[in-house]
Amino acid sequence: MSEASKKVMVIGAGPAGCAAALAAAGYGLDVTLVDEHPQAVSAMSLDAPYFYGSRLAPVLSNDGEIADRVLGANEGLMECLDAGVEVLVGTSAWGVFRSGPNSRHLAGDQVGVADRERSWMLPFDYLVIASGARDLVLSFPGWELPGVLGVMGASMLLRSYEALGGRSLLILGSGNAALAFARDALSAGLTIAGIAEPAPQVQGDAALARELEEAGARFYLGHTIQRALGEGSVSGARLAGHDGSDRPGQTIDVPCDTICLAFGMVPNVELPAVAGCAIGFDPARSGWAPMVDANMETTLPGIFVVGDAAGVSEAGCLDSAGAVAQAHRAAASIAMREGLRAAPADAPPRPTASAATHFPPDLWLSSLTASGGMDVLVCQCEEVSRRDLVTVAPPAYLRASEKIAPDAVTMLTVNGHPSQDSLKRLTRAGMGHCQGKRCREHSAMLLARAAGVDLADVVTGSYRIPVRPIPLGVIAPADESAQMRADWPVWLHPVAEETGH
Amino acid sequence: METADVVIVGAGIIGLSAGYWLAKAGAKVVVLDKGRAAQESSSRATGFLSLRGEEPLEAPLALAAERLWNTLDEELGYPTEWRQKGRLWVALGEHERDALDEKYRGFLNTGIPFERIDGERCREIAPSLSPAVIGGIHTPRSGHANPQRTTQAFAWALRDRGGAIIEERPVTGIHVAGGKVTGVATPAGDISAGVVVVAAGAQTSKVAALAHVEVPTATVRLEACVTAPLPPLFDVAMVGGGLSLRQTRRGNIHFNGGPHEWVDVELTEEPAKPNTPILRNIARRLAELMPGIRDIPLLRSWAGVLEVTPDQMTILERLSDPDGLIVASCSGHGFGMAPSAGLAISELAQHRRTSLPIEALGLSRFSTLPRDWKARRRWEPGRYNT
Ligand SMILES: Cc1cc2nc3c(=O)[nH]c(=O)nc-3n(C[C@H](O)[C@H](O)[C@H](O)COP(=O)(O)OP(=O)(O)OC[C@H]3O[C@@H](n4cnc5c(N)ncnc54)[C@H](O)[C@@H]3O)c2cc1C
Ligand SMILES: Cc1cc2nc3c(=O)[nH]c(=O)nc-3n(C[C@H](O)[C@H](O)[C@H](O)COP(=O)(O)OP(=O)(O)OC[C@H]3O[C@@H](n4cnc5c(N)ncnc54)[C@H](O)[C@@H]3O)c2cc1C
Repeated sequence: MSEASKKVMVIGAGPAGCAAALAAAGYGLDVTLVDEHPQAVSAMSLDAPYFYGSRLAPVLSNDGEIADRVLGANEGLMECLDAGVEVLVGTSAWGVFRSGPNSRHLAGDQVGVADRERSWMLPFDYLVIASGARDLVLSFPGWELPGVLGVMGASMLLRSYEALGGRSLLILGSGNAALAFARDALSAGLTIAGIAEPAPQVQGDAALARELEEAGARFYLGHTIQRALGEGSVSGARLAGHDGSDRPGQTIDVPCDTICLAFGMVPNVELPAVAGCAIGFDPARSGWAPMVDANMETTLPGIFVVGDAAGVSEAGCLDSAGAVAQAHRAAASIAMREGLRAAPADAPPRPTASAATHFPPDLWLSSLTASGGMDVLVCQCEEVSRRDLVTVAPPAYLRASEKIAPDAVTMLTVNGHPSQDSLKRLTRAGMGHCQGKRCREHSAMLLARAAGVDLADVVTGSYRIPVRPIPLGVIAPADESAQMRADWPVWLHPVAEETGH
Repeated sequence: METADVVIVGAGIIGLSAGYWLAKAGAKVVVLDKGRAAQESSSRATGFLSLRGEEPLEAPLALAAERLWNTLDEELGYPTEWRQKGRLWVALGEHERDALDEKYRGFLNTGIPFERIDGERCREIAPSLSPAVIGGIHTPRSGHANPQRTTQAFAWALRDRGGAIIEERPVTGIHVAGGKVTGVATPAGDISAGVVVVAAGAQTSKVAALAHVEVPTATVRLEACVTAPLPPLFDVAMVGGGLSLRQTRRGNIHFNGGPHEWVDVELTEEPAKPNTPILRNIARRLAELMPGIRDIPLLRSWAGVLEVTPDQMTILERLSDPDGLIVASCSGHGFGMAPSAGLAISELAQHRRTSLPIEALGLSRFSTLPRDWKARRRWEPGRYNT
């Protein structure tokens, strides 16, 4: 690789990130690929990036064994290594920093990364964000029990960490992610206790659903979950019939040791958001997604977003070809700009409404609210219930004595746009250690309903650096300069002579 | 045309406090903001009441604020999380001791009780402090509150008393006729009022300029962070090791400090407030100050843009030219000052006079300020850490 070669940073070593890294390296670019897996158990316990839930199998603490499994399961990563890509695993990207308005002193664009011991900054000329999707979480009584987790967390634990820790699975949702996960679980020798879906018909691929049914999976259509059953861990689920009304129907108890939430998946947009890329609401891409052009370039030149991070679709849950095509397009566009390629790559398919996932999962929320009520927690970290949220109740540590402002949701709504940040600050929903990953969409959907507006009109909460909670001792730089130590101001410098100091 | 007795430009804590006291007194008050209420500095502050111990001209207004803070929850009817638990400055290592001694000498200018204490005593007050803390200054006076809840408490209380807050309504002009203020212009129409209060935070100078009044301020971007919640560790409002820090009622440690960039702001645009890698060094300081918590995660960071006056003291004056214009700029300590500053504004708006001690805080003190004062201080946009 020539000295002059431009630096391409790729974040995320799923199919999209690996394809981008491999293609960019193929053009002779200097590529670094970063992925947070294998994760430390402490990081997984914060439910980032997926909703892993609180049943984390003991083997997850065996770092050597886990590293073998996780790396061994990722062929794309191995190819990248062979192609000379600098690969940093077990390393999370926690911030993107750009020299720009009001940060002019920064020398160049850089990504902040951290492993378990330390953090450091990586400068880049081009950034390809392939951070995938994360679980869309809605709640029901008992959702904090060990054994409840999201479909992405479950899929990762099953396929990569080989540490799901359950044998009999109830899946909530019948879109393609739910069906694909059921298929993978069956082929791993696990049992499907049931697939529940409040709609009267299966939402995902009909052929796959038939296949599952033939393999013995039972579908509970027109059913929602009323509660998770079990003391200390999941031993079953109580399903309730749902006919679209506010009244839960007949209940049925389904024994299982794992409840897997497949209400939906949303693009993991924290990094483009903190970088300052424009993010827009787009149900065809399952939520708030970065605005990208045909090259998958964001509104910030040189920053690309590809794969599930740029939008989740039903088709994409069965086939990563679209994600890979986006990655190739982005890499080719970088190569063209650097004079390493003459023509653009084929245009990746554009998201269409018909290929969209069922976003937002309104029927799920209605049915869960009808059967679980308003006193279920939305935010586990800060203990905020649905009712607290829509009444803008003060947080738990104040609650007993405090008065609630009348009409508070109306006051958070300006010109038809309620602010999720304001709601968050006042109720603390989303301010805890999972950084809102378990409650962001749930809270936005409840806010839209309470304010009587479409979800699209909610001013969604801001993302904050670091996008992963990182221990002070890890994020702190070891290499602080003596100059910085000497010049460090606590606050604005006191006024010195008129001539400056 | 819409009319009001008083129009306040800026729904930060200063404008909301002024609006609250005015509404309580029965005035017809409208608070306008270009964006949403309380989304700029006021909700991004650390939450201290600075006693201005080194500024005899400003300390009286801070002491008046302290009295109001002590009963503010009852006054407003909503919690601010104010805790009058005192303030502590500590020196971490020898190199901070000289600065501490100098600060202590400065503090002797006012009647506020400050005590010079040793490292042991610092650790009795805050046991999580590093053994490398070798001394401190303590006062049982003052304390800290939750900036987000406090600004919201003012907003709710203001509306409860009949005041109005109109968001996303930028002020783009101030009307003056015959030497008197007659109202403001906004893209959605004029609002007439005999008194206009400029409490526009970072934009104060720009808004005042609409009435051809020069308010000298420089604007700066600062960064702040919080950790995950911890059990109760300390309850003073602390300065030391390069940081200002407090532990929130919820248990998070909220801290800020470090280099800052001087920036430009526009009249009606929201200033960009990016965080930068300096937050790593800010985090490092907390781990050095309280080594026992170095494994606690850093959870969030943010930045705020605020205005600084040439002498870093509050500007608060009702002008005679044009008559009816009140300007308020609290120069980086407006959060703590808000109860009394707002009350003073409310009195000035209604009676032209105030019982609060603001005589020394007028604009005339800058009459000899050189035109290039920002350049001389290296406080111009783009400058870093000078
Ligand atoms: C249950 C299930 C079954 C599926 N089965 C199939 C199948 O059989 N065939 C098929 O083709 N497709 C299948 N898919 C779809 C396929 O997984 C997606 O198309 C693909 O994962 C999208 O790839 P990606 O690279 O965009 O994201 P991902 O594969 O999700 O990769 C993103 C990576 O980025 C990492 N990351 C995110 N943020 C950071 C950060 N801040 N720092 C460091 N790393 C970060 C993530 O941890 C993750 O490793 C399935 C999906 C699901 C949910
Ligand atoms: C990191 C940080 C820590 C701090 N810590 C402390 C502390 O511990 N103690 C303390 O006392 N102070 C602290 N401060 C300073 C304090 O936040 C400010 O002094 C105070 O909030 C100023 O309040 P304000 O109402 O004047 O301004 P702001 O809160 O900035 O409000 C001004 C409002 O005016 C609006 N506006 C601007 N232009 C227009 C226009 N043309 N039309 C309509 N509206 C307009 C803005 O949108 C904004 O909402 C801190 C600040 C920061 C950034």
